[in-house]
Amino acid sequence: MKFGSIYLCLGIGLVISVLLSIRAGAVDVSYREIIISLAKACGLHPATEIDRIQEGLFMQIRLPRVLLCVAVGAGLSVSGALMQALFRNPIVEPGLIGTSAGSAFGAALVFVAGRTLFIELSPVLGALILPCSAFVFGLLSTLIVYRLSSAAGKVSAATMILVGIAVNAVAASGTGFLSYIARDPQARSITFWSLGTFSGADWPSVYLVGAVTLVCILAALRFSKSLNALLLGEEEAGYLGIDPDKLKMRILLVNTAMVAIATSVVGVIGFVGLIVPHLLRLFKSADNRFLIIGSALLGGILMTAADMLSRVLLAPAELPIGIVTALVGAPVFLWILGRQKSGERKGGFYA
Amino acid sequence: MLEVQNVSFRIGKRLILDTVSTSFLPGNVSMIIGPNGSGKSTLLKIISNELKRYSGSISYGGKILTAGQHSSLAKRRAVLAQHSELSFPLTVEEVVMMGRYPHFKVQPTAHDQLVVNQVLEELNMTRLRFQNYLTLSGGEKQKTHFARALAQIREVPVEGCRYLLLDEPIASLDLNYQHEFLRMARLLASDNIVVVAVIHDLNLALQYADHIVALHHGKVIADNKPQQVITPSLIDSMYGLKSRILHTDNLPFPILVTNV
Amino acid sequence: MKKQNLLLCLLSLGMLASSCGRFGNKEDEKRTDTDRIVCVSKQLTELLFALGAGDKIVAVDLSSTYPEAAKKLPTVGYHRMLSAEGIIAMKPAVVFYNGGQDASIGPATVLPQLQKVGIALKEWRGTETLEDIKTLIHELGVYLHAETKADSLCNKLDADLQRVAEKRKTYRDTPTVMIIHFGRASNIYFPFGRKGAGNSMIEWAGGVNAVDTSSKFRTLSPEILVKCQPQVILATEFGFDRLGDVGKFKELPGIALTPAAKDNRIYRVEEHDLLYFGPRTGENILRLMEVIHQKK
Repeated sequence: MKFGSIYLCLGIGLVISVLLSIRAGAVDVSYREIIISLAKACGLHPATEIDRIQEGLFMQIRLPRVLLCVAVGAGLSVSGALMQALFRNPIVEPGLIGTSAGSAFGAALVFVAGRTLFIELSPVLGALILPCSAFVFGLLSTLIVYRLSSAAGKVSAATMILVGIAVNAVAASGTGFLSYIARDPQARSITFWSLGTFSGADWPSVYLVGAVTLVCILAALRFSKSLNALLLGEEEAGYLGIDPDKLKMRILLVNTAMVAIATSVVGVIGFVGLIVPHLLRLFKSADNRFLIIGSALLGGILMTAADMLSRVLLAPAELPIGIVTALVGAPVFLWILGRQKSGERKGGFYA
Repeated sequence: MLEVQNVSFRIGKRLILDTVSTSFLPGNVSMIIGPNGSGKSTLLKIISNELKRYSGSISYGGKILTAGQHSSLAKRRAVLAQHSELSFPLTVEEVVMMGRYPHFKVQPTAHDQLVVNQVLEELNMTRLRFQNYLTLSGGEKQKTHFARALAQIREVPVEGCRYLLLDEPIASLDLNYQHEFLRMARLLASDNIVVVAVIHDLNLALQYADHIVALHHGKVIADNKPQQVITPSLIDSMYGLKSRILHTDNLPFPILVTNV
Repeated sequence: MKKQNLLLCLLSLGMLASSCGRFGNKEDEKRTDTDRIVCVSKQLTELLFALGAGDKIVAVDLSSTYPEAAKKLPTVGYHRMLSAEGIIAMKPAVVFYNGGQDASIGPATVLPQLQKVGIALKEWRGTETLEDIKTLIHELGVYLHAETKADSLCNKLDADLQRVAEKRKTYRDTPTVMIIHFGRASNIYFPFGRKGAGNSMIEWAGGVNAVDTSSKFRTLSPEILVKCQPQVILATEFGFDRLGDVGKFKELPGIALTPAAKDNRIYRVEEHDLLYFGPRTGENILRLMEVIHQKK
């Protein structure tokens, strides 16, 4: 089966890009240091010692950061694939239609309004209130766009983009307002966030994002068959025995959960959800099972690579990752558009 | 057997269907005809369980249709629409495999693959199986969906028969495809399937149908064998046109000529 | 499907492995030699040089621009947008930063990350009053074993301030003064509000801050600027140098309608003279006095 070999290549690519990213950065970490640190973490006692700072750097900063990249990259890419199936349109992604901006606003709201309030109640609650708020506002944004751009079961791409622009603008100005009225340190965090950054990665966020993303991807795989049917249209999917309304709601929830958790931890990162599924479709298949698994892998690879670039290009300073993804993503997207226009497609792309 | 009992359907104040009653038997190619706005497609959508807010009832094999029967119905009832929205690259085989979705949970079984292979063979589409659906011609695309519908209702259910509903599936196709489809519909009907098609071309109706229901302003104005239904007076009341029915010795069916 | 499972296993193994270790604060093992200092505070940078410890600094932040020698040191980025790795790359023995109300290290995760990795951090008190700055100088002096130099800096400061107090009596006017950062993008003005070193210096110099906001920095629209009617405008080098000369500065919206513009009383000042208290504060106030009380 051709998918098997593609998964294998992507899997290997992921391992390679993780290894490269772990090694690169303002500080070089050698393989020896990596292996010894990991061995120590597992409770083994290797004979040789390494510099304590290098070990700390690797285990506390580098490793969680790279793993977070993989999780966020997978989450955003799968989210893009899900949205493209849901809207039946290949130019959809969470950044475009306001899911990311809405999530960022929800997170910023809690940030500014005082998560201290909730931490008084309970530290666990305090930690969770931020992603929950991100989820609610992300869902709200997506629902608005979906509702306004679909009529009689058909989604109009033009309307979708226009409403997405509007929702993005509202969310972004809301976030901007919050950063204006916020006290200085918070305000700067919010601005830094709007471009996305992995610099704050730590183990708790890896666990949180990793767990949520994993659960959501597994859930998405369970309805990949129904998603395929949805590609034919809602009515057709109904004739094949699928309840389109239930399916749509489930997709929206799963998708928003992934985007919200990623955005609340690393900020808004665009283009990944757009181009990863596109690149996979170049393998001439839009089967959703393939797209979901492939997106998770390829998304992890690209995000890790982008983060590596962001750390290396202007070392020791860091470029916000949103800039890297946009600088690389936009031209790639234009290239894809160009190929498809001149290629075999007959209509259908601009619905 | 597929029964329609006193079905009425409104949108706002407009009455789209007005106490429509009829029944469709397996073994017959049944067709629904009528001018635009007569409620043909609406009736088919109600029959297929797509539209749900109607009064009256639809029964499949004696059992009344209720709203929540998505998956069980999908195993024995296939629907073919006029246009497909599909705008993503899928192979022909993948599209046809979708017809088997009601029959497997996550991954298709060997049996499902066998059914798909057979259906492709029967429709002469095996050479197209790995081709990108989007690169096909209009006729080939519809054939793909037809194959999908066939794959969907391949198995004879334990009790009752199977149903194939066609909503103007050939309107924009070339003549050769139109005839190919209707011939297939004929074959399927003879395999104890209820075939109901909404159709525009009255001559094709005369050529292929065994039973015609004529709708006008949401009411059934004729429900009989084709030659009893399609008469100059019906054409006049539906379209306001003078027409003639011509019989020739060589053909088993008459020809309708309009506006004469 | 199998590949996916394998990958998941690898990932979860990795996560599990890394959680086995113990990564608490290793305070007991902090190094205490002061030969490699990363300083992310412009005030502390100046003080380190003033106390003769400039050669111990290996890197500073972007805003550390005094003295000249500081500009030649490698930087680890802007103090509000640091990267933990960048700092670690400089192999510091200790990282100096300001606490208190001057605390402005960002992003919020940098300092905790450095701590987790085991880098020694040294927080120095913020300075809101002149007493604070003298205490800070003394504390630094102790840390760097440069007590005598610290003492002489404080003495000079006292002497300068004495002269300030005397000279002030000779002036009879209380000009309204506004210190402005001219913004990076579009016509945004950042005036120094009624908090902070700049404001205090104006007051000691015998002037009064034309801007009436309680926070340190707030953006001002041109209209409010006009309403404030400052008699003297001090423009920091950043915005001033962009425009080049007083003539262009005068023409800016809002500025043009102020008494300062009409009397041509717009002067260039260097940010590092006014933004924080330091050993040169006394002499800076003296110079300030001459500028703002100037009668044309």
